[in-house]
Formats: sequence, C-alpha cells, structure tokens
Amino acid sequence: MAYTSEDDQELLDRFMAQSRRAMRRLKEAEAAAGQVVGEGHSADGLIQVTADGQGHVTQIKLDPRVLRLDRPALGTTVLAAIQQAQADGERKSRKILGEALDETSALPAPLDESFVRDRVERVARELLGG
Amino acid sequence: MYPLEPGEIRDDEPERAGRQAERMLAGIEEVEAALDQIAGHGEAAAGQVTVEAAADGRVRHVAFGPRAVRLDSGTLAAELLTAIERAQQDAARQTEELMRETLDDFDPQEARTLIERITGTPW
Repeated sequence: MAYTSEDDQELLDRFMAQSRRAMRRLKEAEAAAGQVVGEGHSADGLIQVTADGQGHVTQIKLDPRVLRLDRPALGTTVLAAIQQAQADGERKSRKILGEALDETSALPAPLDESFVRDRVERVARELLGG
Repeated sequence: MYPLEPGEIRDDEPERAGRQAERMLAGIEEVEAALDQIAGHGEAAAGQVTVEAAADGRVRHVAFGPRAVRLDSGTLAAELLTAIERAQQDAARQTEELMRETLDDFDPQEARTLIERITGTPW
C-alpha cells in the first residue's frame, strides 16, 4: 500500500491527542495534590494539626489541658504534631503525583528526526519501486 | 548562541562548554549545601512564640515564652500558626536570595513565570 501524507496527519493527530490527555491528567493530579490534608496529633490527641501537601500548616487545635505541660515539653509535643502533619501531607501529595506520572509515562515516542528519516526512506523505496 | 552545524564548531568550543557546565554543577552543589543551612525565623505573641523553619518549609523548632502559656489555648494556637507562617516566609526569602547570589542571573520570579507559562499553555 502506498504511503500517504494522510498517514502522517493521522499519526500526528494521535500524538497530539495522547499528549493532551497526559497534560490533562497531570493537571488534575496537580489540583488533587493541592487539596490533600496531612494530619498530625499528639499521642493523647490534645494537639491536632493539619498541613497541605506543600508544607503549609493550615490548622492547629490545642486543648486547654495542654497548657498544663511544662513549656519545653509543650514545645516538643507541638513540634512533633506539626512535623507529623507536614510529613503526612507531603506523603499524600507525592503519592497522587507519582501515580499520575506513572500513568503518563506511557506517552508516544517524541516526533524526532527518526520520524522524518523513516518517511524519507519509505518515500525513497516507493520511488525506486521497492 | 551555539552553532547548529557540527562543521561550524570551533576546536576550543567543546572544552569551553565543558568548563561552563562544571562551573554550573559546582554552583548547584554549593547551593544544596547552603540550603541545608538555612533557618527561617518567625515570632508571634510579642516574641512569646518562636518558630524555626527549614528552606523546604519543614518546622524544625518551636518554643514558648513564659507568658505564652497564660494565653487561652485558641489564641495560642492562632499565634503559633502566625509564627510558623513568618518562619516559612523568612526561609523562602533567604532561599531566593541564595539562589540569586549563587546562580548568576537566576531570577526565581522569572523562572516561576516561565514554568507557569509552559504548564499553562493550552495544547
């Protein structure tokens, strides 16, 4: 069957459609990663912290009873809950982005010089009647 | 900037490009080491709540002054959030300064705009 430029157009259309889908998937993942809520709390649950996927601490709840702790202990316990929330948020957003990247890694091969060379060879073969 | 034809590449050019790449790599290593040293500081409640944050925003230290624990718990929580935000902003400011100093001509704002333009381009 003779090689036509319509074949190239079809290949290019398919490549663009796949690329568009991949970009959309990555953008969705980026938006989803922006919505994650990382959680951290002290062992007794009196300190509760939330953070987003970018390390921002979004909420801190302190039960009045935590104020009975001595100050160094309060600092240490609060710090641990904050770090837990930040790590949890980071883990969740990494998971979302990682999954999206795995899915989109099956992109078509880029249209590089082999794409052109391939076509030149095919046209040449047709011209030579091969 | 660079010749497109292999025949137009002068003999000393690959060597020059190599040296330039080495300088850039050395710069990046320097930045990475310096990034670990960054400590952003933030205070709230008239200095009664102090926070230290790393370059990536991780909170590294939290301390309360004697008057902090006399605040009601809701106010203390709000002051703590403010101190964290300030510490992270300070760390971010130091990070940008470091990038600008170490990597010649690097403008974080320009880089962000470029990335946004690329990722925001409708296909």
